[in-house]
Amino acid sequence: MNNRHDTVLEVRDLSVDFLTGRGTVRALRHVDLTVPDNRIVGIVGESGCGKSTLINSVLRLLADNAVVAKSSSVVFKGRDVLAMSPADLRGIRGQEISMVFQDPMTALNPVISIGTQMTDILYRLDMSMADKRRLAADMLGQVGIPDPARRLADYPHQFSGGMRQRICIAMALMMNPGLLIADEPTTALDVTLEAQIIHLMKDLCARFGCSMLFVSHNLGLIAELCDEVVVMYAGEVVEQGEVHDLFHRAQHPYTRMLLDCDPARIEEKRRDLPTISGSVPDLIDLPRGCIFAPRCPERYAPCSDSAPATYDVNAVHQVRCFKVRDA
Amino acid sequence: MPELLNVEGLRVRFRTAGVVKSLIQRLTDPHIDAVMQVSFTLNEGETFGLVGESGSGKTTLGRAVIGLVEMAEGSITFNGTELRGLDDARLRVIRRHVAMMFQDPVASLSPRKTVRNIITEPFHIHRIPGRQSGRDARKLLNLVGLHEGFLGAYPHQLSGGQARRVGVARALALEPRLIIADEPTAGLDVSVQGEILNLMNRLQRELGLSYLIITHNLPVVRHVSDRLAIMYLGRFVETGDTDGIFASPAHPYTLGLLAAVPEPDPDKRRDKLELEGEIPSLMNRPRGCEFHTRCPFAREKCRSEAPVLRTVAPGRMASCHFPFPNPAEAGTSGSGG
Ligand SMILES: Nc1ncnc2c1ncn2[C@@H]1O[C@H](COP(=O)(O)OP(=O)(O)OP(=O)(O)O)[C@@H](O)[C@H]1O
Ligand SMILES: Nc1ncnc2c1ncn2[C@@H]1O[C@H](COP(=O)(O)OP(=O)(O)OP(=O)(O)O)[C@@H](O)[C@H]1O
Ligand code: SF4
Ligand SMILES: [Mg+2]
Ligand SMILES: [Mg+2]
Repeated sequence: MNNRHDTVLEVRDLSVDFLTGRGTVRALRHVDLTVPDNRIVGIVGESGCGKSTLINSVLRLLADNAVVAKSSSVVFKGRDVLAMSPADLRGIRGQEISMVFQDPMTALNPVISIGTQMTDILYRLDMSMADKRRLAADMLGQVGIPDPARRLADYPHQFSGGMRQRICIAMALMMNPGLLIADEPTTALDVTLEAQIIHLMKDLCARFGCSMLFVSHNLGLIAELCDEVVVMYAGEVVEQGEVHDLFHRAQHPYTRMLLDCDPARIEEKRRDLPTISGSVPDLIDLPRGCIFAPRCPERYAPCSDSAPATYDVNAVHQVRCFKVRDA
Repeated sequence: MPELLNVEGLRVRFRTAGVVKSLIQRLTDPHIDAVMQVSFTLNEGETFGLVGESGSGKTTLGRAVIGLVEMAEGSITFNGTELRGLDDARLRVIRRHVAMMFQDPVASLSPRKTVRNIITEPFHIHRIPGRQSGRDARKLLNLVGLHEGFLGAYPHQLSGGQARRVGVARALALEPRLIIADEPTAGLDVSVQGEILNLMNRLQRELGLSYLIITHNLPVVRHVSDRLAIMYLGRFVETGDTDGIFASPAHPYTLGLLAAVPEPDPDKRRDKLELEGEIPSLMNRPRGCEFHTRCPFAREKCRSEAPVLRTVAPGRMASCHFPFPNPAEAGTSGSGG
């Protein structure tokens, strides 16, 4: 559907297992995902559905017990990440694909000044130190840190939590990456700072011509920020599409129930909140049919027999549910 | 509803720096007031919500109520008995009736203890003999909807939702009348969040519990709390009935908080944010109204004169020189939102 020129990242048929003493954890199964140029793609799904495993596969940072299926491919700007040499990978991580994490302190070194940490990222550039520091100060200014040139000398603890996350965003964008991956970047912040950071990321990505893969289980943030949304459940992509289709015309029963459970979408005040009854399946011992069938209020005969493939609602809206095939 | 808890003029103060650091930074008074001039009452069977930004003093207030941090000023009265000046033995008896669910359940559960030991630990702490039996543990697990098979499990073997349930079970062990729930659903998926809140709601109905719910999740607090306090830099800046506050906030900070919550609807994106700027440091509280550095409605008076928390409409208090008028009270002057 998308040719290579307008696509930054293309994940095709990605399956990942983790080998454990208890058995094989089938953490990702046949995941397809496309991040087009200059677009923000959101990934939502319950804890344990495989969001981090997907991101770690893209960056080739999976744990040692992971096995990536032979059929899988992850293509970044025309290059196959799964076949890359360690040297090529180092050239990509943090440079062409950069990350913003949940806790800014995981990305910042507490005993090195912000200025040094920022200029270190530019080690590949043939530039004078003075120019590097000017660039760093300019980036800090762009993320809204007042008096940026002077603050280069400061250490992470001298900034507030919100400012630290701004610094991480500045660092992530310094090398002008093609793709920014943000894994729950605002959960440690409160609503007013969260809103500021989200708006900042959106503005900067547009300005720098960078695509973003944004992981969150906050549906409000996804709706506010993303152009496209990927919904994951228990290791599979169950629905993906344009953000309006997802929020207004969701087709997969899981997506619809997830939206219905969000207290922010419930107009009438109520004490008893909706839930999805049942629990997530054991990824070691998967059900035979549709992965969501055991909890699905709309399941019918075909659902327990075999697993649904992905069916098109329209060219940009795909759903893994028999109801869409049979509609 | 009879009154269960009354907090009057509470102040909690922390020492911030060692002697050397305070000399270097030329601090005359190396303290912060994490909670200041806080007063409220909580009635039996009621849920009181406490919201505010990170660092606004919510957890500290909760810990002060349960006696885990000392108060510098003020009084706390539980069920008609003032806690200040009570001897340890009597304090212990009263504290049995107040339980706390901690902010981070997995970290607050000891990793080497089984679920059985965790939920019966309050019996040991309060030296209640003969209650560590399997029967009590099973009953508690039952109350929170966990299978007995979990008695022998360790915290790392639990999912986020299961760990919260264990936290609730432990809080219920001593049959408290008040539970202070600190971010009871942070980090949980929406469905699991609903399960925990429904569980808390059911227990409230069955056991007549009162809750002090601390959170910065506004959509949640709107559904579960009867009354609400909004905190900023350790002070209450607005209090009142939850529905009323959501319908028409009086304080500009409350308005900013409500406006910052993104709507899960791509047609309702905001292009402009109400609140810019960072939260000031407690070491360096702004003069005048402490919110004026971020307030879009600040005027000259706000920069020089501190507003007091006062009644602005029936049942509603706010500390702002120019509160928004309450539609029910048409004609009141205000900053005109
Ligand atoms: N190294 C590993 N060995 C075994 N199982 C693993 C390993 N890493 C992850 N898993 C399992 O794979 C599944 C997917 O985990 P993953 O961390 O990707 O979920 P997630 O969607 O990021 O969840 P969260 O929202 O909690 O961060 C989970 O069931 C997890 O327990
Ligand atoms: N034991 C302590 N010693 C010194 N300062 C403390 C202590 N505990 C809390 N503080 C400070 O008191 C202030 C209020 O902290 P508190 O944890 O009560 O905030 P909170 O509203 O619960 O925030 P969050 O939403 O992040 O949990 C903060 O500035 C914090 O750094
Ligand atoms: S007193 Fe002034 S600065 Fe403070 S909240 Fe009200 S209008 Fe804003
Ligand atoms: Mg994860
Ligand atoms: Mg807290």
